[in-house]
Amino acid sequence: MTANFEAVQTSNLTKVYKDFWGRDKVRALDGLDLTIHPGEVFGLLGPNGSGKSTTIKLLLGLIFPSEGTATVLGQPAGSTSINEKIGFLPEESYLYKFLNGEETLKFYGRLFKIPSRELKRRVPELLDIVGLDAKARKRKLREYSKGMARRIGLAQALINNPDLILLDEPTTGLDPIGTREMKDLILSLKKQGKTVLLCSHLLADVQDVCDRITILFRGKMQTIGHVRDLLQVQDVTQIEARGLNETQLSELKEFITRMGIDNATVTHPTTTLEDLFIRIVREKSAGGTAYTSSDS
Amino acid sequence: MIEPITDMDFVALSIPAFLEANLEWVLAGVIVVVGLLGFGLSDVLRFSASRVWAISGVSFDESIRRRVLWITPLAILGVVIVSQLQHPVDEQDAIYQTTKFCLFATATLLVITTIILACTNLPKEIENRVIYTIVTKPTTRLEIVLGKILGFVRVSAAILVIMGLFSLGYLKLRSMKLERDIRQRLAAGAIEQTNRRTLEHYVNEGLLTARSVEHAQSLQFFAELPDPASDKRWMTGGNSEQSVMIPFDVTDADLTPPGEPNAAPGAAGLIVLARLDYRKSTAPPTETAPATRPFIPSPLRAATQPWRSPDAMAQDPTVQVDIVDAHGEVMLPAEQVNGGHPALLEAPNTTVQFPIDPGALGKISASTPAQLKRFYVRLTGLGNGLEYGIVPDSVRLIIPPTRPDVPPRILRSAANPNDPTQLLPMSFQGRFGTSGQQLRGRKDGRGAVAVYHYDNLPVKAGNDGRVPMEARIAIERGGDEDMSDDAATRLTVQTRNSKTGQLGSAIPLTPESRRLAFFTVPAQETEGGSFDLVIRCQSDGQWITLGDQSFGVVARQGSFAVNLLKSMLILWLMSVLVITISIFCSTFVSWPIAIVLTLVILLGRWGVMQLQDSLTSGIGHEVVNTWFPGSSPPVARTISTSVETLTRALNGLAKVLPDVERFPATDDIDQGLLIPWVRLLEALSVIGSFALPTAVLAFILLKYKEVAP
Repeated sequence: MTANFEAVQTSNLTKVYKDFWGRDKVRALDGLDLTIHPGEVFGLLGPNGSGKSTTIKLLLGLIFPSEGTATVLGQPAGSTSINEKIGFLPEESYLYKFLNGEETLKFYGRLFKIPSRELKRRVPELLDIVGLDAKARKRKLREYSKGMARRIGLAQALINNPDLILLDEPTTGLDPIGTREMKDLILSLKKQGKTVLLCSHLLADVQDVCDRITILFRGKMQTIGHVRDLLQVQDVTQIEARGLNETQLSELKEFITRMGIDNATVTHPTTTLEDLFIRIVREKSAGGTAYTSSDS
Repeated sequence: MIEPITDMDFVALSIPAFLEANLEWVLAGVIVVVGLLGFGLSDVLRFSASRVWAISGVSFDESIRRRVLWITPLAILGVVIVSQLQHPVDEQDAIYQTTKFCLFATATLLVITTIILACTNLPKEIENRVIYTIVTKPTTRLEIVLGKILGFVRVSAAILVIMGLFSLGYLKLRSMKLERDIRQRLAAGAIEQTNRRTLEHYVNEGLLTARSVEHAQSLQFFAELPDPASDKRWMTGGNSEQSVMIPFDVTDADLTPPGEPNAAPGAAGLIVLARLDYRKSTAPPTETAPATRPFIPSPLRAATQPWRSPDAMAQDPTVQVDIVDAHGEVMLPAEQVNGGHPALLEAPNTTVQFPIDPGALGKISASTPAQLKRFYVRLTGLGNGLEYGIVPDSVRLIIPPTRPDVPPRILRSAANPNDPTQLLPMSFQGRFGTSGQQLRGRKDGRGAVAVYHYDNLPVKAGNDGRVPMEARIAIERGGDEDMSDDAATRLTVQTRNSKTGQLGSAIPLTPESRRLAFFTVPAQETEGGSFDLVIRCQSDGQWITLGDQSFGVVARQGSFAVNLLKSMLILWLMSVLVITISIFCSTFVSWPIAIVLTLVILLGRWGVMQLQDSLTSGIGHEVVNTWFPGSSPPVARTISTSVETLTRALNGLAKVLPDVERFPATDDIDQGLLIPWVRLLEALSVIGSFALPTAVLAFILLKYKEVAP
């Protein structure tokens, strides 16, 4: 992917939904100025109704802006030609339920005019990547679980080896392992130099994989920046050390008190629930012992 | 100084006429060009047939996997049941009726299925958001619209293949069974004589026929077979049995009194001048005939004549005139010509006058608003037992002057547009019955004749050196006639070759009323393709009714399977139209409304055509007079104007809606006739003039539609 242009750029992007009589009903997005650089994983955060999905729909040309402009990979948003380089995973897997997994990917592949020979190679490869086994591939999509539907949805989004991938709530319906695999996949895509726009209200997901994020609220951008910078608490210092015993811990507390700091706390750090869950499941899968809190 | 007319003036004058004559094609062209080049050039440039095929494949798979084709066994079952319950006239009719059932069931199934599939598809994809994953791929909206249309066209093709194969198989089975039955009946000999030839024909030619039948250029009725050496023609007199029509082309200026150009047309009236001959007929006087149209009153004599009995008067050589249009509809009845009196021919070869007063003439002028008015002077001889002779150019119109110093204007009958030095021929007619013109029977074969004239017909003889022909006539009998077999109606058919003038031998026929009768004539009698077919009825007291197409020459035999294929192709083209309209409607309304709107568009033109008699100028006044009598003038004017405006709007709308009658899938095949390829071209023209621009409109609507509301 060439980097002569930004992956996504919007200027005063506004969407106002109107009623039957043409009167303003909802201002879903209000003057969004956003730039997503090539090769980064960008998170679009916000509560329900904040304008995340509206932004993605505008970038894909599913709806048209009331004001402002948006360009995707250097071309106006919604341009058919630019869709060659875009992959899109909608918030739910809106696919033809009467097709099976393989037929679905072949159909979308044909829309990209991918040669049959190439499709024969790529379809099983993608199904492997998203973790759909041979049995699942032959089942109709209407028989898929929600997690399987997300996986096939992701596979169709990647069928064209896109430069820009828009993922709308990609982990919805996935179990923690699936969630982790999804996040690993996103990081792997980043490593391949692809740009990922991630839209979610699951903050932990975003925190784990995004380089930069923006938070939308009531259609307006509230903040934007690198995750690390935004999460850093500037007036608090944290010291981490492994294997301290109780005596060493007491001495450390006394030292801090001697320095005149009264409100310091010294505790054990906690992991994230997701990390804990995954560790337990992986250990159980490998035949390990049950994990309890006293083990730590 | 007046500028000379240039070529550009002609171009400027001809453009509006061209637009009006080709309105649907002009509109279609504008929509397609503006839509594709103005709104969707980028989509056109990116067009990919493989993407269209892929989208169509999904639509097709979806329909098939939803078991749409499972409805075809129901239609098949319906056809089988209904065909068993039918009451055909004979075996051939049974096949014709079954063919009609098969095609009707196919068409109904096809229309209902495609409307439901095509109207619901796009709205449901938008509703369940599957469209998200389509439009975010490099597919243009043009490809989506065409893909959907193609997908459902493939579904309709699948339905047609199933129904076509069933129809062919079922009809073959049924015809085999019926032909076997006929053979058994013929072998048993339990057949009426009048039926035998027809049944033998069914067995020899088969019941699943596809033939093309050529019809005559003209049908005329005479008192005797015209003599080629003479230009005088004779028609039977009495009880309006025969008449002659002479065409006239006049302008308003022609009808204005000579020397007074500012006077109203017909202000001085008009005189019909006719020179006629008459003679005693060798046939007996006309008896009371079956119901006739128009009703002509008994002859009347001027009050100045001495009194005579009605019977005596009925045998006088009297003639009456009325004015009719090209369809025989009376514009000016005989009661308003010559003061309502017939004219008496004082002697053979006498000229008689029929004055028409100015008031009555005004009706002709007003009822034919075109600049050049075409009407026919119809002369009817009233004398019972007489025949009336007439030669070309013996009827003229006189426009009398209002001043003695100005000579009258004399108008000749209409000139032949192909050769203005020649006059258009006169047309001799029989009396109109309920289903054609009537020909009276006479046992000795010297009665009136009907003559069908064929011109340059590509005649093809069979292996036996004879040309196959067929006839379907209606027989009318008097109430006191013997209805037994002995009274079977007998005809003779005779050919007269136009080139050699030679009369062929008389071929006897004993047809049944309204059923096809088959016969052949020697090929040499029809050599050159120009010939007359002379029909005589030889049963006293019986009348046969002949239409323009009662006698036909079988020009070509074809395969029934190919004919059925043509019929299916017409239905398939119709499904293309239905699907395109359905997709178009579904781009901007919900699917239930799309279904209704599709039906309205499909049937709109046909519906307006059914109301045609009502939707004419003047309907506003009729509505006021009928429904709102006594309304105040402003209210009446408002109602009248509103109704007239609505009428104009409906008529205008109908012109741009598709003509579903141009998909006549059953019109010929249900009579065993070959479907001409031109029928498919006509159907194809509707696709070009309506379905194509509709698809482009659907594309434009979808292109600017937010598919994620």
